[in-house]
Parts: sequence; structure tokens; C-alpha cells
Amino acid sequence: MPHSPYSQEISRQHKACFLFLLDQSFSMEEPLGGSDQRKCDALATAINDWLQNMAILASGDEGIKDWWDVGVFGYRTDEASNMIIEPALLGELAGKRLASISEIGNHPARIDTRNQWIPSEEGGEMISVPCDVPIWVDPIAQGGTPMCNMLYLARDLLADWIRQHPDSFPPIVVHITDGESQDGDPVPYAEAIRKLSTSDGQVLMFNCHLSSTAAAPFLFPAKPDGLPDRMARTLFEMSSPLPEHCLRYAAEEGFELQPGARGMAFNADMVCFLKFLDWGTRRAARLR
Amino acid sequence: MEDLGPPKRLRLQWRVLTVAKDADYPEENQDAVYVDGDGGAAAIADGVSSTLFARRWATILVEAAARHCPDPDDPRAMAHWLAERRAAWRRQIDVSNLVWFQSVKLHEGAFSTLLVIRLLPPESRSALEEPEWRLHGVSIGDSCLFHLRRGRLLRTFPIQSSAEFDQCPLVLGSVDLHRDEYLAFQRLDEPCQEGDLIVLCTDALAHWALRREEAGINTDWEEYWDIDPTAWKAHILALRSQREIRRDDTTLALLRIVGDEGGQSREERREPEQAGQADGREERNEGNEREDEVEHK
Repeated sequence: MPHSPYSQEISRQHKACFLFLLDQSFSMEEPLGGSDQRKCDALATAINDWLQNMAILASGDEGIKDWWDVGVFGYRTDEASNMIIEPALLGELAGKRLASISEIGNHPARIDTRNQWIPSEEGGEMISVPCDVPIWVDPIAQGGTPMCNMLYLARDLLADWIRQHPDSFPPIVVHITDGESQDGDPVPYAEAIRKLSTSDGQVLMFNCHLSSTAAAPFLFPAKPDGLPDRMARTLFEMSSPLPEHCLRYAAEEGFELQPGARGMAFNADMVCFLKFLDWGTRRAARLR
Repeated sequence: MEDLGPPKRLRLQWRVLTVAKDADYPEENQDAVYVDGDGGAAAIADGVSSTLFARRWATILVEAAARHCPDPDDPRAMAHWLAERRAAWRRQIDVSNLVWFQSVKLHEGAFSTLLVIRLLPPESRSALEEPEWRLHGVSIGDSCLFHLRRGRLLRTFPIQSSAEFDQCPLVLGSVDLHRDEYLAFQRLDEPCQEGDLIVLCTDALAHWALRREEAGINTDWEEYWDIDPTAWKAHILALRSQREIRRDDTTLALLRIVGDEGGQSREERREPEQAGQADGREERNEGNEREDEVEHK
């Protein structure tokens, strides 16, 4: 009996794979639209929070269950315009192209302290308490944007992973940038990634553009019409349609997604970016 | 006065089979079952695997609910009952040994479904009418009951169709997150009789069985009475590999309503090395059993 795509359940036998591609070019120094936080800081915070939440999600009484592999890559150029494409995880995981979620959970590079608002045990009102925050990646903003080379490397990495996990839920690639590619047209490279597939479906490639201005964001558009410029249309072409179950989940939550909605965000502020990240990873992989 | 004889008592014979979501890691199985055969009560709970110490929470719930489940329409009684169970869960956890990801998760607590059933005797008895026992049930979440008579499915509870299964069922939390007012318990009150088979199962198996029913295929639950636990595990693993059943902790409790005329029933119990360590875990009981001998999952 044929199975609908993107229906493989995630387990140790059928691991998932999340690959983050982070733009670390100089313009990431600029503040994120609508806030005074640097884009590179917002990105590092979001990725660290995501890694923490995914380690917690996979943890049980006996430790962390190896339900998924995670890769975090950064791309930029140095002062001599040499491209730097490297794994972004720090500490004991430095240099690892992909790490299992148990490796990640058990080896944060360091633990920082941050004030967080949580409900009090007594009355439920929100109180600010210092919380330990595990850190795996730090913000970087330097040089140019060798996007095509990043995508080219990612394709090889994913092809290897798929050979080892041919029946898994297909890898999810989350690419976050704030500018245009400086080493060519990224669309064919993104298409090469999207053509990879497991028996459960094609690789899902999601793209998010972080805004420097307070312009209106575009989240999960279903058509290129109405997108503001060529760069937005390029990201649209690079992005996979969201799986059908995402549309269903969204409808259940009163959040309207049009059929054909692509996994992309343009001019994303912090709220839009976090929504993109959540839907582009956990929801897309049916982890709720 | 006519000699009516001693009042008839109904009790439960039972058998439990379970396979963990990851069959190589049975210790991660978060389902729990408790059967009080003589008391005519049983409960099943499905601990949410992404939460911490969910099996302990599920186990606490089934043990307590099979002994006494408050009226869900009495919010004060239910709140008191839940508070006691939550305190019991918290007492079992040694917070000094938690690593960072567990410490964070502990604040959210564990979550579990709960389905409890109880056989209730007739309220009045006359020589003119056959006394009617009742099958009472209380449920929160998507663990499911199938009620069969002579192989024919009479009803399911609380889920009626496979389409109702949701990835986010209502669950009971081991930490009071101030959301208890949203809990909506389902209730069952139907006649039952000696010989009826009550099947309790967690959602993966229930979803599979309901989909078959909807396709016109009856599930022969009776055959599971005698199936070897290893064969049952192989059966579930085959269904998983064919993607016929969800990859989730899968638990089945078969409960046969039997009469007890006062005599002692034969007891049969497999030794732990045969039952608990077989590939598919199972427990069985065909007679009166002291509560403290009952193992739980």
C-alpha cells in the first residue's frame, strides 16, 4: 500500500535530519527590523534556543534519545575574500558537520545565565528568574555571502546522510540570510538539494530573509506575485512547498496557509522568524 | 422469603501485552496498565513520551484510578484526587540527579491519558428480572475501549472513529499548570454481562483496529488470549514496518468478564523471566490475585 509522502515517523531507526545554513556576512551586524538587536545575535539566540528545545523534546528518563541529527553551518568570507564555510557548533562539537541530538544535548559549549519570565508556582503570575542557558553557537558577522558554495556543500552532505537513512523522513534544510548571494544564482543549487529524496519524500528546503527595516514581512507565500523584489522571488523559487500536513495543522490552529504555500519568509522580524523556524522544523517534521 | 442464594459477583480475567515504541528499549515504554481482577476494575494510561518521568505518572494514575476514581463532574473531588497524585509523582523524583535538559523539562511535568473501567453490580435485585451489571468508564485522551460480546463489537469508547485520533489528545499533567478547567472527561455507562470481552488499548493499536473496522475487517481480539508474547511483538513490528500501525508504545489489555460463585479460581501466572523479559512483554491472570502481586507497566 503506498504511503503519503512526509509520513515516516521519527525514531532511532528512522532518524530525522535538520541542517541549518546561517549567513554570517558583515551585514548581519545590522539591527533586525523593528528591534535594536543585531541580526547575528537574534540568529544565534534563536538557534541556541532551538537546539535546547529539541534536546529537551528528545529527552526522557534515561537521557536523550537519538531521534535526529543536526548540522549547523555558517558561511562568510574573510578579509581577503576567501570563503569560509564551516560547522558553527562550538566546544567539544567544533568541526562536526552533523551531530546527533544526544551529542548536542550532552555537550553544550558553555552555560550562560539569562533572565527569563516564568509563571510562579504559587499564583501563576509571571516572575523574572535567572536561568541557565546552554550555548552551542555564537554570533558571527564578517565579509561576504558565498551562498552558492554553501548550498553546494550542503547537497553533498545531505546525499551522504540519505544514503545512510534511505527510509527516513527527508532532511529539512533551514537557510537564514539577510542578503543576496555573492557567488552566483543560488536557485539551481537549491533545486539540486530539493531533488534529493528518501523513500518518504524530497528534501525540504526552507529559506528565511531577515529584514533590516520594519517593512511588512511575507511568511509562507503561495505565489510569487506580490513579492516585493527579485531577491524575494529568488527565495521563493529556492523554497519547497510546505507538506500537506502543515496546512492541516495550521487550519486546526486558525492560521491560514494557502495550498502551495512555500517554506519561506521575507523581511522577517523576530516574531516572523521564530514562527518560520517553528513551522519549518518541528511542525514540518510532525513534531508537536 | 425465597432463597436467592449468595449474590453473584463478576470479576475480570486479564492479559496484558505491550511493545515499546522502540522495541529495543522496553524501559522507555511509557504505557501503564493496572488490573484489579477481583474488584472488577482496570485502567490504562499512555504517558506522553516527550515528557519526563511519564511512565511513573501513568503508573501512579492507573493504580489510583483502578482503586478509586472520583466523579469527574465533581471538580473539587477531582482536584483533590489529582493533587494527591501529583504530590506522589513529585515525591518519586530525585531532583539532585537531573541533568540540565531534565531540570528544564521537570517544570512542565509529565502528561498521560487515562481510561479506567469498573464493573458495577445491579442496584436492585428481584427474583423476576435478571440483574443487570453495568460497565462504567471514565476517560481523558485517546486510550480506547472495545466492548465485545461473542466476538461482536458492541461499542468503542471514547473514540468512535479513526478520524478522531489527534496528535494532541487531552492529557492529565503531573504538574498543575493551571489548565485543569480545560479537562473534559468522557463517561461510559452501559450494560455488561458474563462472557463479555473488554479490550483496553493505547492509541496506536486502537487507531489500527478502528481503521480495520471501518474497512469492514473485524479484529479477532480473542486470538490474542493465547498468542505467544514473542509472536505478538513480531506481529506489531511487522505492522510497524508495513506502516499499518503508528510507531508508538503499543499496549493491549484483554479483560474477560467472568462470574465468581464463591469458589477459588485457578491462578495462572507466568514467571517474570518468561513474561517481562520476553520480546513482547506480557502479564496474565486468570483468577484472584492479591493486589501486591500485580505488576504494572
